[in-house]
Amino acid sequence: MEDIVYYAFCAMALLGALGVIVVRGYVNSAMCMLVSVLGVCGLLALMGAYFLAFVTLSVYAGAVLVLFVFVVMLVGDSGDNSSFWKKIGLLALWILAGIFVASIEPWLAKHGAPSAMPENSPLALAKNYGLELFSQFMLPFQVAGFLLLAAITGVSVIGKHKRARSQGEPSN
Amino acid sequence: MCIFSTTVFDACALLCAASVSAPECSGGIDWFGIFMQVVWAFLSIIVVMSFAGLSVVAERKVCAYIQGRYGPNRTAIPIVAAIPLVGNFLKKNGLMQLVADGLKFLFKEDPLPSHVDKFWYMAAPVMALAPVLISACVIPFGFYVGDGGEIMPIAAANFDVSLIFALAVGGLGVYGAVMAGWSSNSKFPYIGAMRASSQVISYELAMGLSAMSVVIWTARTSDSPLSLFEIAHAQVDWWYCLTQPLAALIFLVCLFAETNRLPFDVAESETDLVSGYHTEYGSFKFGLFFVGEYGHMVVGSAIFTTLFLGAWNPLPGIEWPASWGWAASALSVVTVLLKIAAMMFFMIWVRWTLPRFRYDQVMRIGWKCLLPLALLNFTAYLIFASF
Repeated sequence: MEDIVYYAFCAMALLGALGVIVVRGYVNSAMCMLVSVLGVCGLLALMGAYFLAFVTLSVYAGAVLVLFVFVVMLVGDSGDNSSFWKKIGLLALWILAGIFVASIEPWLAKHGAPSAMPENSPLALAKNYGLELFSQFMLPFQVAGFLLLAAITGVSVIGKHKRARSQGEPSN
Repeated sequence: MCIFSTTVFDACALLCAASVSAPECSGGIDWFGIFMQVVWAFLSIIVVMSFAGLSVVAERKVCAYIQGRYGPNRTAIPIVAAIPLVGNFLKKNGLMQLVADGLKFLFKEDPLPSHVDKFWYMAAPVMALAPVLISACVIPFGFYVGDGGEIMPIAAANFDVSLIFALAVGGLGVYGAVMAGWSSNSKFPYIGAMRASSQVISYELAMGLSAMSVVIWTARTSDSPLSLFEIAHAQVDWWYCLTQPLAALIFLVCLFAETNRLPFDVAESETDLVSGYHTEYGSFKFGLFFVGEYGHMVVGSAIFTTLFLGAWNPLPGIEWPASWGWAASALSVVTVLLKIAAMMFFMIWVRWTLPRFRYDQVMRIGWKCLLPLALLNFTAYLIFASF
């Protein structure tokens, strides 16, 4: 039973990721990404890492991808769909990347995560996860925060610059 | 057909939850456990769906009362209406109108406009309804006393982070509106979809932050404060609407925005967008949007009840004693259902009292008012709880 669910979620994650590059149209790609995110969240939930699973669902599927779709709908389809051969090439690259990873790190394919969480695993309870995050992994957590801050600052600088320039030009 | 597919979808999700949460039996798959999970899933769907149906009637009746009319009181089903007292009661209270409305959705012509993106046009109504039904499975509708004398929730699924689950899955409902608007290939639905997505992005943050202050407060007494059951369990003495009135207010306002209810229904404002994102829909596909909207209201009311209105406790400081056994369970379920009904009435009442906000007002309230307030509120309770 669990195996079937596991393979279903795996298929969602992989086929969704494949769909992002293969399907026609931006919005369809974004929706494929949604399917992929849902699959990954399902896998996390199946592992017993509920907090991680549903926070991912909330942040990525519930907020980030809504923003993606929002922006894509604002910009609109430009109509320059890539050709069939380009997509086939991307597909081949996708498969090659998988083979590459599997040949370099064969243990990845052999050892999955344990199907049932051990009792004291930090992933099993949100409280333990928080304690672990803010004690043992404090430094990486803060560094990641700084990275995000730098990214936001950069984006706002670039965005402001463009807006000021477009306001300076006479609009038609 | 669509209802069937969403129900199957829901059952699959619950099966997954059950297979994860149920302890592995030595004799292979625990079919009885899975069967019971499916039964629980259907029960929670039935509760949400019947509430959604009844609230459609309530909407019309309350609206009529507020506007000084009678509301629907003529529709009669031939044989049922002839039953002496019951028939007249059903007819006068518009309950047969509910059946007539439902049948109308089923029997009308189902148009498929030629200019739409067929796949997403068909999928969007299901995407609007399915998340609502899935998030209904974590709502604790009451409690029962377990074998060891401990209190257990009456819910299809109960796990460590059920609050996040409910908020996350409930938030996925916006894809229904967005894809409906986009696939319709038409201007008004498109504007409606844009408004729906921007509104959800704007209000989700404040909603989550105001719920987090409740979580912080629950964390003082419980080990898994993100569970709806633990939050409900912690509200025996003081309901959170009394200890955290600001958080409750912010959550309530965001709830109105998330469910696209007036005064926040810019996504389908009839005065300027015909009917918003579902303008191109008719027949049962529109019916699914309709049910999804009311289902979202029911689930939202249930979450608000659990977070702030004391869940199954009848009054602040009073609880149904666990020694009453099944009677206490029954009373707790009745209490929760009554509170959800009261919340639904409140939402209908607000709809027919307040006018709609303009789009810029919606954005200003979300970003310049609710979000800073929610942040301040959260920080205050964080400092308060750490002493």
